[in-house]
Amino acid sequence: MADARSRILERLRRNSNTPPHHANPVSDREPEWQAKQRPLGDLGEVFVSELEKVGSKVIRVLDWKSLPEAVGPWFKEFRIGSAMTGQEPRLEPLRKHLGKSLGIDLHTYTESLEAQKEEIFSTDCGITTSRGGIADTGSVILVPTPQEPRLLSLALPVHLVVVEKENLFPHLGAFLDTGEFQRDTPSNLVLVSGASRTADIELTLTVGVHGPKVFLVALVG
Amino acid sequence: MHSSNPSTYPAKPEQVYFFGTCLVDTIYPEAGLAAVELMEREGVQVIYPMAQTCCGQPPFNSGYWEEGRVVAAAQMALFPKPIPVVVPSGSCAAMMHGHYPHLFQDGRDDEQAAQAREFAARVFEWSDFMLNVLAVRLQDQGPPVKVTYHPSCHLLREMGVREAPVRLLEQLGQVTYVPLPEAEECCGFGGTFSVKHSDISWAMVEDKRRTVAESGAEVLVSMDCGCLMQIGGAMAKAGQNTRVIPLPQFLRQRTMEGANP
Amino acid sequence: MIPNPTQFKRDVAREVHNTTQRKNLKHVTGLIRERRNAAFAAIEDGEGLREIGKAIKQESLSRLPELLEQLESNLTRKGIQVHWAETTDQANQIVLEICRRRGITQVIKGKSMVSEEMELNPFLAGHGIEAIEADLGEFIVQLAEKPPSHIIAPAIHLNKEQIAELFEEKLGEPYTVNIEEMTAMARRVLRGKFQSAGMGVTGVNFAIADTGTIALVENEGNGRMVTSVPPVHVALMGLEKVIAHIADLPPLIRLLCRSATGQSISTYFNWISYPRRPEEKDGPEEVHLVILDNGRSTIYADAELRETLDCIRCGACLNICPVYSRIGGYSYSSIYMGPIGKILTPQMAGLETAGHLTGASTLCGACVEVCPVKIPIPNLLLRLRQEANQPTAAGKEIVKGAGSKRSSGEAMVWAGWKVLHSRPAAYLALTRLAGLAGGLLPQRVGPLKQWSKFRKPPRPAKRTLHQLLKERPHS
Repeated sequence: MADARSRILERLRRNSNTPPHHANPVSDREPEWQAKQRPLGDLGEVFVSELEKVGSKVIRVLDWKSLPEAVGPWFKEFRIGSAMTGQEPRLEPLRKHLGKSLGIDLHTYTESLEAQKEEIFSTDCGITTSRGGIADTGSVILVPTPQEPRLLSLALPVHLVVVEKENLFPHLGAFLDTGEFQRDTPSNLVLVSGASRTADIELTLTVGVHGPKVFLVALVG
Repeated sequence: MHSSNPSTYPAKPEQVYFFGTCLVDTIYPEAGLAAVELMEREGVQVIYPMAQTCCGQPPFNSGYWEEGRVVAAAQMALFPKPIPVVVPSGSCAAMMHGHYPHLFQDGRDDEQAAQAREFAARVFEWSDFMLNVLAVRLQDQGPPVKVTYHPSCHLLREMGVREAPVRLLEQLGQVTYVPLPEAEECCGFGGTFSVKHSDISWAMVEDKRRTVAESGAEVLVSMDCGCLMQIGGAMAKAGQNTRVIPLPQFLRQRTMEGANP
Repeated sequence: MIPNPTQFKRDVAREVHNTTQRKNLKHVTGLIRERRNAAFAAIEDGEGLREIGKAIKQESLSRLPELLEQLESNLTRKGIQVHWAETTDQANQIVLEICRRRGITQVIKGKSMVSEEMELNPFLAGHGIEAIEADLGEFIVQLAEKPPSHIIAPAIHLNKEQIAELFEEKLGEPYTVNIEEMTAMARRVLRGKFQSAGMGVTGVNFAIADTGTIALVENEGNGRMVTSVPPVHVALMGLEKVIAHIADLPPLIRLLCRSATGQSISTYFNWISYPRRPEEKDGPEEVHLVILDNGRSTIYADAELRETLDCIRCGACLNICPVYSRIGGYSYSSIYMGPIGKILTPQMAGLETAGHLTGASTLCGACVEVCPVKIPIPNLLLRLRQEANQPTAAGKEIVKGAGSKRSSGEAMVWAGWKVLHSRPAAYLALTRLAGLAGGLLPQRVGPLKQWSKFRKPPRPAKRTLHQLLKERPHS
């Protein structure tokens, strides 16, 4: 449709120099607006309280070492029998603990969606790390990688994600200010702010419609 | 929007113009008379140019801007002195204050466009003017009564006058102001809309009627006679006996010696 | 779906008496409004935020052709295929060709108003391709064989009992009004479809030119499923959705979510910038973006009407509209309903077809107060009424169908009105006469007949204000 392209652009170009009807200044006003907001205080506390507001479960641990013991009880609480991780070395101690001490049936996302579709869609819990979090909205920044692909955080009924406190940003703009997204744009980045939900029937909140029904966050640090 | 920026209120003037509006002129003249007399009581001389007719809103809202422009131009010519033009209607005030500049900009007669801007800046809605320019203090003379207020959409949203009518009511010692539930929802008048889309208009005014009843008020006041015609007309037809009265007329009745409204 | 004045009158006359629907709509729109207001109350300077939103949209639009080209070149560089469509027919053909090339017979969809504009589902069905809606609300209205009745909440007009009946009838599920169970039913049905579908179709909330990113807002996870599991992802967007910078995204997402549902952010906010890369294990092998015009470039040409294109489809104007909540989304016979529909559809479909929608408003302005990008909807309605009756440019059609609503009858009425109101002597004589005639005005015909259906007719005062003031003793 090369013709469609040139005709559309030609029509737009004829008028694109028209000044905007409202002569607003260019919008660099976001930092100014942010400065007016109430100070957030401790990012970890805000992050946790925002997540809990929408029903997510959060646990705080001092360091990666204490992670396995700390999240273990969740597997009993949510009756998780099987779990899947990617190939993230930092999750190895947790895998060991889950397999050996709790008898969880462990799977690893090593091949591809096509090769492991059935396995992925029939496992109870996906476990991943994250790029960090956004405090003011209680959002986890997920940047799926070959080591930790997308479906781990999506197709399984429970998602357990590890967020490092040092990677918390006060708001989304602060994450973008690092410039890393612009420099090394990932195939997919997703902000996740709780379990999958809908309010399409009488605006009644219902959790677990297509994505995970349970969203578990371990905040490290 | 004068009210959003109090610094734009002028000092109390000696003279004002009064633009009565066609609806007040023909259906609610007592409200116009009350508005004039209450201003005079504050020591202001009120000039009422006898050649005035209508602000031009009906054809303007119907897409006939040219006809609206001709009538609007005729009105503006009647108010030449640089003194406030006070209008006892949120909707007509919004037309003159908010839309005249645009209407004449569109006509591209630069001199007239400038005149429209100058004129528009002098237009005030009556309740806003009474409270914020004349700083009126009302002395209630009437018996106890429960009153609710319907804020017309154009007064509220185009003129930005949210508080003035209620503040005036609250000055009356024997009047209990009861808020109208869902007050800021449109009554469904909308000028020609009320007859062109009478089914929707009906559905809207039915809900308004219900909220008036829910408020428990004995009297409903408003600054727009179009809304009162709509709500009052529907209540009368349905046999709902809340009294419906334009705000200036109500205030005048309450503050007269031996008032017994 | 083609709007039509006669149909509109008929539908409205019926729907205002549909008490169940009116109750459902009042209940739900009221709740969303409360949540929206609370979300704005929770931040400082909501007004400043709206101004930032407006500035971003107006700035992006003023550079629209340049930004679209930048978007295209950045996406293409990264392996996302960009297609351009002037009409919905062309857009449908583009989707069909991709299906044919890949032998796709089943398509799973995220929520997309542009796909509704294209009437993509019936089009694909006509070519033997099944399209399944995955958003719960869309899934419900698809079962009911209807389009969405609200931009954000497609099944807003139905209550749980009505939906339960639908599930019982169409899915063969046991009747239950337990919303959790009903949601679980939809999850069960759709899980399999995500895995079997050959293509995922979504809309686009924002397309970011500088990074080459498609941003998608959703709560259910269906958007992530649709853009991650099927081997092909096709994103459909109106050409006004492009913004210049990724840094523009934070204020816009804040405005969109707060205005649409009262959330500070949606549960999922997806940024898609590449198809699956060689080393990656999932994600679609092919990603396509279809950029649709469908009349938008004409709207773009007029600086005032261009504000229509600021819209970020949050639905807040529908939730506050006193007309929408009384007639429901279907009465408009238009993909876009409510206040935004009344300015958008007449410009896309033409005033001759949809001009009547501009009249179905009291110009109450409630929508302006909640619009996250401050679109002056009543002023645009006034402008469109003017274009419909008295076009502003001779010989040039600023809006499709300009002048088509002008009737000699109405033109005569206003011409007469003008003469009467610009000649004081005539006005005075007639208003006095009306006062004398009082109740003798004809009440069985014309406007008074409509008026008197449910309202007592106004009675001209015996003496006009002109007379009262002239005759005052002391004046």
